[in-house]
Amino acid sequence: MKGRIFNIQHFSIHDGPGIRTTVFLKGCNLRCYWCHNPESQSYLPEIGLYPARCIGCGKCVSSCPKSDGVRSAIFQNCDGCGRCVETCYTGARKQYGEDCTVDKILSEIMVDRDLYDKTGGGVTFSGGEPYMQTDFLIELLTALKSEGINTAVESAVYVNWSKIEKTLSLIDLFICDIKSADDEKHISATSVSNRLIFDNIKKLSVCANNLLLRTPVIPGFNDNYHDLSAIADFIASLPRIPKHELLPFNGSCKEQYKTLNREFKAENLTPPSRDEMERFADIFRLRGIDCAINE
Amino acid sequence: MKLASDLKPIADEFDMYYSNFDPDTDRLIQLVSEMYEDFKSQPSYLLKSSLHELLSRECKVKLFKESPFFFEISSGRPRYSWGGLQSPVGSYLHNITASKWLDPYADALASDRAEGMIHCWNNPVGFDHHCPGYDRLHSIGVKGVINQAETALKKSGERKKSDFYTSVVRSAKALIHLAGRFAQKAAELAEAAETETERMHYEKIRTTAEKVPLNPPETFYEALCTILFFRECVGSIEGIGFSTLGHLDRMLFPYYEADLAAGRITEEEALKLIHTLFIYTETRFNAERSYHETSTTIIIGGCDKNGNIIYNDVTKLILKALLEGRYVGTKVNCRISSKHPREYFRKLAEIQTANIPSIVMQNDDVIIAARVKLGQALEDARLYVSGGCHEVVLGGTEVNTRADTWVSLPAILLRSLYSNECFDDYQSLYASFMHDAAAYYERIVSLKNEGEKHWCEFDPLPLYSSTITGCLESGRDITEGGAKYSSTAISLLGTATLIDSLYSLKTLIFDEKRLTLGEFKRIIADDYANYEDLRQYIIHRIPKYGTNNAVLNRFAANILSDIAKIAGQENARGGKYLPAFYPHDVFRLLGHKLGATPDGRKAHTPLSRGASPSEFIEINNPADIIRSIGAIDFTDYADSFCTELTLPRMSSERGIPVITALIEFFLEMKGSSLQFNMLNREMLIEAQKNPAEHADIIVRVCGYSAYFIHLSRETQDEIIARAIR
Repeated sequence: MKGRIFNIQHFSIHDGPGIRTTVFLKGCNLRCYWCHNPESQSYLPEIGLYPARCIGCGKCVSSCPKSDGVRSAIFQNCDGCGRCVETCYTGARKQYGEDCTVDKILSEIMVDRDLYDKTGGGVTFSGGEPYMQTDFLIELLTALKSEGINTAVESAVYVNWSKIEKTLSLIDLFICDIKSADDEKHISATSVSNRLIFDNIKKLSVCANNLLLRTPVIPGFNDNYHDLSAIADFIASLPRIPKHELLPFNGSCKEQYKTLNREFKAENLTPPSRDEMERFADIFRLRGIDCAINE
Repeated sequence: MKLASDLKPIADEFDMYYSNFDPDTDRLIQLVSEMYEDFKSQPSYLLKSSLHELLSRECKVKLFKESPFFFEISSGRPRYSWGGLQSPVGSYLHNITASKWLDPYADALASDRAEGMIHCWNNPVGFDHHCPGYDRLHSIGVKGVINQAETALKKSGERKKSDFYTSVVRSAKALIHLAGRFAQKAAELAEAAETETERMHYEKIRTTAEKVPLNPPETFYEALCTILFFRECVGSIEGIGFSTLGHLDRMLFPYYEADLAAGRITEEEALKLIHTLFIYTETRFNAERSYHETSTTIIIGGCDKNGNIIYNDVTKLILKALLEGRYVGTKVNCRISSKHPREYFRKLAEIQTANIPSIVMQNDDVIIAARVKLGQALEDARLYVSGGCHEVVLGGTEVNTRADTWVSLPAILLRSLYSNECFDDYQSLYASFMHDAAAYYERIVSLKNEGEKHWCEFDPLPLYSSTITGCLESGRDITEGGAKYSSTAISLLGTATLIDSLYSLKTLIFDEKRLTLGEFKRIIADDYANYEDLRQYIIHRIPKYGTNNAVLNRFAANILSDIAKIAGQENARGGKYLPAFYPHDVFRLLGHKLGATPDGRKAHTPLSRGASPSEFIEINNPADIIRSIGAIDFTDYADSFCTELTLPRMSSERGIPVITALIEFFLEMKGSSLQFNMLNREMLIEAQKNPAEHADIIVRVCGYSAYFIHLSRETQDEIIARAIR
């Protein structure tokens, strides 16, 4: 079976315990305006352009089946076929979205097997939304479990519970975003309702082997006492209170938006200070939640 | 530097003194030159003793109110120095005779220096990176040394040997006279003391300076006094650079244990003494406000001569002091091995995640084996230390001259390419390069030996020699090969640049036949002008060292193994030349003078460092750098061959398990030396823009660390480039 990924990141230290390899699956059903991985959103293959790396050799234009030798046409008519990427030595053109077999991904993952064992690390599936490719995800998780490798999945859980349920026994750490308790706000910021998400989190808090909830702190959206308290109240009401992390907004992805010629709506936001983050974390800690700041 | 309130007065007093002190250079030079005129017809041994006698009488001694150590003399040595050639008075004999034995070396290599083949100065013999035999001083004291020399003198019939023994006796007595002047000064200060605390402070110094280094020390404090006194005073008056304070935890632990048992010291008091040692270097070199090479190293961990692991309470105190004080100036070289407990590695990881990059890890499993391979005795090899940056030397038995000459391997490759029209195949290109590299090395060896054979004739080192195994036994100074092991290390730079260049030539010219060698040479000579696409192809599509590519790993291992074989010649002291790869800042300097190379490196940019891959290549997985070195047999290299791992900054919670695992992984891969640089690129760029707000960022530069904002712009940019991956 093949699945569509846009990156495999080795030596990842922010997506779960130890040294991990993070596999990014392409395609997402949310459209959060602060999204850190714009290349993850569409399921369709895309080509990113990094102008700083371009040396103007023109190989991309001559290799493009849609361009007819016209430079501007390679953007307008691009269907992500990736021929230009093959010819571009500098990495000025980069392919987002490659269909890979489970075996190919596994062989890449197993390179760091020794480091997972030494550091209590493993493999994290992120996205996009991994549950947009549930069958593929299950195959990968099953293979890793049979090798005894620690697994983590990062999901927004805006998916049918039945999909999640099938994977639970294969996941050591379930990482799940919780962005806003206010449904209207949630819809306007992410394009989807939080009801299904909250229902799933309730179930996960009981069924998941190990659950970690994460809240991105987005200036002007949820960086206030009211919104964060509402999230904290919900977490505190769960049957089993999971661990929680606050992630400060990080604008370093703005170049990434440019490479896709896409607008970054959160471009001008200022990340919260360390002191502010500590105060926000206290909102959760006061409710007995084990809350950390993940920078 | 971050100091607790009880330590601040120490730093303030040192700082005040070194900010304003007068090294008394002119007066001393005048006195020494008069002495030289009177005694210059004497044998050099006796002349050197006359110099020692003069200086031990004339150098002003200085004691500190806040520090219990006695070591500071006004000896013509400027603030930012640690002895050796920076001491114009102690190295007077060296300087005044330079035209006869030192200048010819530099003159012969002048055009090579201009071309960027080599970096050196008028110094074919290394006056730095040495380690005196502290163990001998601790076990028999200077008195024991004098006794041995006097006994040997009575038996000696040979004139030159008698002169050597006489000079050891005279110079050692001069040194004791100098210690006596500290005692006298302390007595005067005790007499004039305003408080009882102050009086007791100077009284303690008085009794100690009367006792050591003349006698073997009996306490932790006395043992430290012996080390610091000898390192500083002999470094100044003998003109020799002792870059290391030695294997401190191994040497000091028995004293510490005995002191604790006898109730003579508390843990806090011992910690404060260690802090004082760190603070001295930090303030003398003004490390917080400027960058100056300190060449000051402490060795910890490792093992004793019987192979017993050293990881004791003194190790822990030294690491604790480093963590608390965040010191930059002193390089803490940590010997690690597969036998050490994980707790030790976790402590080293904690220091890394606290962003104190002053440590390097050196692998006993490899370095000791490499030394034994050379034919050195196992029990001697187990006592290796490293000084300067991470240059290895066996404490008390070996005198290695080094860090005076660096050769650019990529420059030899270019010379080899340009002096041949074409090659039938890659093997003949490679053979031509190896031939040229060996011939170049031979040439340097003969030039060095030509200078070195005069060393004893012009500037012997009886005080240093008196502590080194072999000299008193043989009646020969270290300068004429008296040490048990007399080695020389010439550093070979740009190994990754060389490996990648050779692989690129093999691929482009012989495997893919993409272009002819003649065409490629013209493109390189023109710095890839109009051939940027080819350069990008080379950088991104041809495998590189450091990416754990199986073919490249074997390719690199073969080249490095061949390179190791070009050393091995005999030096003028009867010892051997060792292959070495320590870069200091010279990788930047030699790179600056070199044109573009076949690996895609642009002209006038840095060469690769130590065993690290080139910085401009793509590495998707930092662990690959460690895996790549697994293919190389580092026991071929008796000197430290360092790999740097640049990682993003991490919290201690996340970072400690990660760094600990990487240290253990490095041991499994049998690398030689390892250092980390925890860098955040955005933060460094921000620090260039607003230095005042980022004054506390410390980075590892090569064998040393420094505050980022005090580095030159060029060095800053080079470090930022490391953080891009």
